[in-house]
Amino acid sequence: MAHLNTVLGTLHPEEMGITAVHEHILFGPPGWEADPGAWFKMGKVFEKCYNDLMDFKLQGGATFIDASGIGSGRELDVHIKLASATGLHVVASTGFLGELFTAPHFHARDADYFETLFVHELTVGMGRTRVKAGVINAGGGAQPMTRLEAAQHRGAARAARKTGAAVMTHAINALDEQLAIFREEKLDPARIILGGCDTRLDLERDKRVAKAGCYVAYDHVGLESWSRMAHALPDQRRAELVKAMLDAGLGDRLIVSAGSSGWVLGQGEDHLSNVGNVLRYFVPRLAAAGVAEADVRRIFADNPKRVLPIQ
Amino acid sequence: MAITVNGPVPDDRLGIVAAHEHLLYGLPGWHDDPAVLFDRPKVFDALLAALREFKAAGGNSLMDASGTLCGRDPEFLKALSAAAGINIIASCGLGAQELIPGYFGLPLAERALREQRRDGEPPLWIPDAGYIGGMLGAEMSDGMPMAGMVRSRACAGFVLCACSAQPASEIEEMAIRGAAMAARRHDVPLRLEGGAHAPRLFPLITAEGLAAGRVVIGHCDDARCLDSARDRELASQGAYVAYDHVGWQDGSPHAMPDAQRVQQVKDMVAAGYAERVLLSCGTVGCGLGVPASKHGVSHLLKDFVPRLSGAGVGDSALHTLLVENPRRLFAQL
Repeated sequence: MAHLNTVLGTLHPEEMGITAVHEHILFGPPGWEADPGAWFKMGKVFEKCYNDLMDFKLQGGATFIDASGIGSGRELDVHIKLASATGLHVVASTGFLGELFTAPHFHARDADYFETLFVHELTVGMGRTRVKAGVINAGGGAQPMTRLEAAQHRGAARAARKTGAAVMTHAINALDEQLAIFREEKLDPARIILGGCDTRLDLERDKRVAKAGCYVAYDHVGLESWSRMAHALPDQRRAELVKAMLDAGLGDRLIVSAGSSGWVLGQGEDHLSNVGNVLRYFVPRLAAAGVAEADVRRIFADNPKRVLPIQ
Repeated sequence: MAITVNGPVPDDRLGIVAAHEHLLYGLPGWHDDPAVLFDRPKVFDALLAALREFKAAGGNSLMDASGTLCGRDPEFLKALSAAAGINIIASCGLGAQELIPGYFGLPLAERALREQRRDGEPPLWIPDAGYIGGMLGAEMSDGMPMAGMVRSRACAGFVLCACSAQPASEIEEMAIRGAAMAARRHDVPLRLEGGAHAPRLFPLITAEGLAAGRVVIGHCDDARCLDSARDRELASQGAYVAYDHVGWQDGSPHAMPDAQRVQQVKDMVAAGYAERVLLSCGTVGCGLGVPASKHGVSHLLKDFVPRLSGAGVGDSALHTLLVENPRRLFAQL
């Protein structure tokens, strides 16, 4: 039966409500623990993350997907405490966000290893816990993909087929290679969320992959000119993309999220954006751009409910 | 004076020292792998037995070369040292590039990418040699970091660095120079892993002002890069040459029969460099996601030293190799 794995247990898809599909509580590449310069006051950061999640909830949010994956800030004790303190449905994820976000222990591994690892995390528990992951990340920074990233994508696709979980990608610049691997592994496009479609704009690409059945995620809402990131973009442009996809009749394949981080490990508050602002500022912007309320509901509730739960 | 995990020990009390071992060893991130089992009490017992055997064979002290990232657990080492009655000198340092996780490398990669694309701004924080030097230095003065964002009271007693790229990658060079800065500031030994790269990197280390007599060149008995002329040259410059994989005789690319190591030691002694050689087994006591070694740390004293004696290395030379050299390495210069 379709269900969603949250850090506090399983959920019926109808319980999901407004969902932030790609967010982070703590986020950063592995290794920061070794440098006291990157340490933080847990109480202070917990309070900040609590306020962010609570803000999202008060704006109408109900489910929050943490896409940090293995070793990139996935601290399950924090997730669990935040979930119980806010009442939000918090989902943690398995998978990796690309080679530089993969700790050395995992560098020499192959697709079989990753398949086993992801299946374990989805069906038994993440790391040494019995807390099950809800979705599989697959990412990459380099173009072309590295051998390791390709193996991780392949492992993700196989684990998705085996468990019924969805795959969420984080490397739109390697799209062709990603899709080739997914095709080879016979992963149903309806189980694929292509993240980062607002980091390198190509509306025709988005229409093409959505027509093929994949979900197109504009998942950096709020990352505007204040950011040092190369892919910072005015939200107005994102709203136009959403409208264009809706006008093309592809509203069933749209995901919108902030890709926010409650706390960035090693880079302080530089990259912080707020998940609640998607509902506070971006939804009104969509309305102003002519997006109907039913379509807003579709993007933030119906589509996540269709794609995320384990089938 | 050596800083052990249970406090300072005068260098003339170190006794017989195994100069390069790994009590716990795993690649960074091993703890995220559900397939890696770490049965702490069982591992403790096994390591305790190995250390007791080393002690019974005459050993007194051990340099643990797992560095900051590769499985080191300061509180575990403290308890083990106390239980075994063996001085454990722990290390800090980052290792070769394949061991350095993304926290250190990602900002460099992002900067390079943005320079190449000419868009965006570099990350707010980018490590450099001085930063890494400061970070490692604090492990000597304030204590070694542990999981959970706290420092152990146990301090590191030497610094290590390594290189696998040719030439050294940006992050490796940073880690090597940072290690040299930290070793100099805190007056502790520095261990450079990898004999093959030593002639190139040794000047980089001394350029930071670290005395040659504080530098150990490890892995000089790696079967892939034996070079007796290099060893003599490094020794003549005042560095210590370590034959530190004694007992790794097969089943690994760096393995070779101990008989060849006996010859290496004999050659160095004959060339007048007995005072520049260190010995150890390079065992992996507990492998966290990597295989443990087949032999234990006591192999050095129970098997290799008798071989050296049999090959004509005299008692006074053996005393120099096992006791005097490590003592001098840790002594005030």
